[in-house]
Amino acid sequence: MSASYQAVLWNRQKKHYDWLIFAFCTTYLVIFISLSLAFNPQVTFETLLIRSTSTLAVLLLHIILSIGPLTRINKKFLPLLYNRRHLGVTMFFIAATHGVFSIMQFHTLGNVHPIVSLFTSNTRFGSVSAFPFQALGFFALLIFFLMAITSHDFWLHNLSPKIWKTLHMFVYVAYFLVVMHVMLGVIQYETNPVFVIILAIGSATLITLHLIAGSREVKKDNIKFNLQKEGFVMVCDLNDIEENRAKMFCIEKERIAVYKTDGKLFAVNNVCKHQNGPLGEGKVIDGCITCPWHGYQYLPHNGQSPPPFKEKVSTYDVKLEGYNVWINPKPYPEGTERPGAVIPHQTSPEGEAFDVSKV
Amino acid sequence: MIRPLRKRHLQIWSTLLVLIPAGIIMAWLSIKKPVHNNVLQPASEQALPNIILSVEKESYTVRLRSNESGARQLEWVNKDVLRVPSAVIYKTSPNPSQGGTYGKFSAEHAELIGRIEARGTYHFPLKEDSSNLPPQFILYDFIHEKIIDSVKF
Repeated sequence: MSASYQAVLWNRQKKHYDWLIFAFCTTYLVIFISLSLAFNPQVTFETLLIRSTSTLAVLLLHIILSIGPLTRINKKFLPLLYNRRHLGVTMFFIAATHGVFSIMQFHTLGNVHPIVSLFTSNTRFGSVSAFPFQALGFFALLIFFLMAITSHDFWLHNLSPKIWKTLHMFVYVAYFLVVMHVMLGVIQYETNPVFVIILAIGSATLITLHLIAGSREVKKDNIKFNLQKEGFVMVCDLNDIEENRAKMFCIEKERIAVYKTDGKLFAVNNVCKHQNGPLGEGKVIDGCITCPWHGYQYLPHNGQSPPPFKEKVSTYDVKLEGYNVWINPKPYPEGTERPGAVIPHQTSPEGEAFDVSKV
Repeated sequence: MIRPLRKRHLQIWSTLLVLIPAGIIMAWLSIKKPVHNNVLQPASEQALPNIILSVEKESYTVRLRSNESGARQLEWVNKDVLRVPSAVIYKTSPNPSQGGTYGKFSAEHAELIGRIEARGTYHFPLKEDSSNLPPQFILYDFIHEKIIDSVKF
């Protein structure tokens, strides 16, 4: 969180995840290089490196871009989201290896600067088949570079979440540039259609996932809550909310998370202060609402991060009438303490006390 | 995510839904069709049944073939890709007036048999030769005007 910055916060899970990334990348490169040497023993080391790193970077980019929508479709993918930045930085280094060796192989033997050569050796911008595709890869790599160097939370806080998020949304521009870099580059010379088919399947999968996840979110935003009284809106039945979990409701264009924990209901703004993560999809850990994206925490009754952290979210009034949960969508200032709604305990016919919400 | 961000994501991917397939199709359609290559020698002929002479080299095998009617054929089997892109084969015959020796090679006076390029088997028909002595074949780089190799049986 924001009280102090450390260079890298590598907990055990992140270390485990990083080893997995390393093992995956190494295995991929070894298999790719071995197969290439088996089928084409005359291939040079530079060519092997250029080809293997390019395909690996494209594969990783597809995985990275699919994590977001997958987590919105199924919460089981959330651990991937928690570690996505490490995968992104890894992808940048692999893409940079491809870029550096490509420039060395194709642009360092002349008498002009390699970068100048990259932009001047082919200027047929009007042609499709002979388009200077290397420039597209260069600009994509530039975007990945900016994203990699600003990936730490230090930059998120210093640039402000709005600017940081805008910068990182350029990954979609970079993705389009990469697709065209491949299509106007190697595909123009490689006649085997399998490369086009793989790329088309990858793109189609990504687009489908994002559109499905996006349309689901739109549906959530458009749910109408008609039953209203005294500023409160009835949102659900008490039993719809699991213990130490929340349900999210969009009222008056604002998403509110209603948490059930410790015999009470609390309502807080759904948007995490870190990276706008969905607090309503998290759970209560150690008494704190924990954002599913990067583990930022807030106390349910006042929306404040536990000391020494300083993040705060808005809180709302919530009340219970029978089993019906009601929310007042008028937010209190961030960090305002609210009492929450007590879940009454009732007595069973056998004389045992029980929580009505667990009936 | 906040609502404007969700909206922007959906807008971006709706745009990519159009742009990416359009880009892929456009690039796919613009792939140049392979140019038909007219090599100097005619399409591969059937090998004649009898092998008269044969020479084995590291990168190629050369055979002189014939059939019952006396037609003769040169079979050149390239085991590896030639490092010289401009290689042609010349045939030189021994000169009886010089004691049956082949003399100094001259492309102007030798008989051009055909061109070899990639790995594979090439067949070239040979003209009738009154000499009973075996011919010599010269593999010649016509751009650099250099003899690459000579094949004697």
